[in-house]
Amino acid sequence: MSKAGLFINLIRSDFKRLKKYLPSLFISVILILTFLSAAGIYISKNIYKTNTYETVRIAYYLDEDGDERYINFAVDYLSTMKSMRETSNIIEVNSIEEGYDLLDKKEVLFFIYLPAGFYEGIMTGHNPVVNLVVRDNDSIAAYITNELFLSLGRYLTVAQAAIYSAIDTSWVHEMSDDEVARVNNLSNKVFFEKVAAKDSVINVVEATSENNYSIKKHYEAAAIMLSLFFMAFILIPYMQSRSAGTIHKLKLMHIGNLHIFISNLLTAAVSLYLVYIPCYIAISFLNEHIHIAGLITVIPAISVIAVIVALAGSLSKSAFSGNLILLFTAITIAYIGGAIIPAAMLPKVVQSLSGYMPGRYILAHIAYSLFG
Amino acid sequence: MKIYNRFIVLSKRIFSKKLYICMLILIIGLTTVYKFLPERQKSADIKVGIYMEDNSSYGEAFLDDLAEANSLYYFYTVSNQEKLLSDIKSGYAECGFYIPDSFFEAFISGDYNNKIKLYVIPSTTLANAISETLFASVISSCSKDILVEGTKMYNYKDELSDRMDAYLEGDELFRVISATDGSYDYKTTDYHIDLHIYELILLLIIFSGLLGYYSYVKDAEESIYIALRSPDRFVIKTLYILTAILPVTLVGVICAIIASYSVSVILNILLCAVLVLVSTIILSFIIKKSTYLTKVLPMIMLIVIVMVFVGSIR
Repeated sequence: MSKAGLFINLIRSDFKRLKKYLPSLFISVILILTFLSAAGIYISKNIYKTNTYETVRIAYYLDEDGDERYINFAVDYLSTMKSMRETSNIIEVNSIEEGYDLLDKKEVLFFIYLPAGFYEGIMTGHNPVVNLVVRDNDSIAAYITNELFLSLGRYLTVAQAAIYSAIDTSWVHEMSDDEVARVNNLSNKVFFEKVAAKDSVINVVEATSENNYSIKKHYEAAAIMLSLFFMAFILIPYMQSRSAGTIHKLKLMHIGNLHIFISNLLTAAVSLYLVYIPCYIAISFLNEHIHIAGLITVIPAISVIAVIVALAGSLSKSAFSGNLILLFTAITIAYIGGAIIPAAMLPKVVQSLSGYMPGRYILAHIAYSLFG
Repeated sequence: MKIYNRFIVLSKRIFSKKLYICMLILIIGLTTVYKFLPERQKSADIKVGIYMEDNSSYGEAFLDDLAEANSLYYFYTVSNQEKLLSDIKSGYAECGFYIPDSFFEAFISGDYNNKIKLYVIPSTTLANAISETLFASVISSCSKDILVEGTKMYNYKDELSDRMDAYLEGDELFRVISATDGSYDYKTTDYHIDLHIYELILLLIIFSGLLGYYSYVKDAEESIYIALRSPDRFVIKTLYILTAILPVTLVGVICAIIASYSVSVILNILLCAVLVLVSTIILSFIIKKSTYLTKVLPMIMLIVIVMVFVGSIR
């Protein structure tokens, strides 16, 4: 028989042997994927959770003779603003003394006293003094809330400047009363509209996505990548199960280590592809989305994993050392590729290595194959 | 005496593995190096990244206004979106803003579909408060054109602009006076880069125990201890595991002392060593063949690595 014929026979017999290992491969991949997915979901929920600031309590007092209707409108408006809602908790007090009392008892950080005629004063340019009392002006919370008030005050300052300028200009050009009133209304309206448009102009986006996938999807793809790598725990013993006698016989027939490696590579690639299918179905089912082309586009990623597994299986002296080498190689590849910790959180040296290691590309291919 | 001799023989066997000894020395060396690394300083200031695609005069005015706002937050610009995202994800920036091309023009004309993107991560807590500061600068930097566009007074553009400047420079307008004194004094904290020595030692103790048992199984399968009675074999098995665990445990204790860990950490390391010894012995009653161990041990190691990692981010 020719050398090519012998080589094909070797591959055929290796595939026959592989059949015995398939049930344990399927069971293992499901178990490892479940374990790694659970760990991934836990990590995705906790990796960014640090460093939170407490909500600041603010008390305000509205003078009894004040423009209650407008002030209540303003307080309601402030309370519904995202920035205020997340930073502060606003409460009304019945007297100035109560406000100072709450400050003394450290129940509030800020106390605002709005004088009578506040709204009218703003509209007529009298600009009444608003008392802003802070209990502790050293804390970061005090500074954050103070800056929030300054920003809100700036809106009012700019709007006031604009409205006065528009009215002055219309007077200077001797416009009719109706025209002046129209300019006044328009300038009021446009600034109110612009300030109110803040939440629709600023779109809040989660920056946790990796390669355009949500952090949860990223860890799902990472779990599949590592599960495929760890199939080596079964594939390497399979590769090493050829007896020394068989290898010697093969060598006598000029079937050397390279042929054995190629046969190992082919069986590893096919078995990894087979175990990828239940992973693909499970993740597609979980995400209620199927990306059919993914069954093809995953092939390069699986091929690279198969090469690494086949190298570990062919070059190691025993199945045990092969498994250990692969365990640490896979974890290193995954770590540098940003599969374990998001790439941006890795040390700078590791980040610079990332582009030269296969982990990042394998992960990107698997994620694309799963989610499109 | 016999047990002592066996212990010595097995210990010698462990210490004859140069790679293993090198690894232990390396751990002690690294702990020492990390201990004596100079302290680094970290400022607690709240950084906010901005990636500007709008290169119009409004964009420049906006950045100038933000710089002059004397804000509590440190706004800085980045040259691309990847850098912006990377800074946020790594925790360097509290949040980040992406201002798209022609944003100001669209905003002035009332088209709110060309949106600013505010990038956040789950630990971001001040994004909305920060966006008030940023948005105040957005409004301020294009207020004159907002007014002209809103009132349709195109013929009086320059006049409106001059009057607005005069008002803004004067003292007739409503202003909120800062209730805090000066700028916030961000404390710089000194910190050490720590090697996760405790987690590393924990992993190594578990791995050493498992490998110690694996080498016993390999030897037993070569019928070395076939002539011994069962209790003697049990003692030898225990000694294999113990001699594998002991050097790592000792190194762990030395590292804990070098790194100035508390006594409770040292006790934890010792307790962990005892637990690993007991659990590996229990495992030895369940898995007795090296063929199974070959497949199971990496799985156990994987589970341990994941558990330790998950535990460390809690």
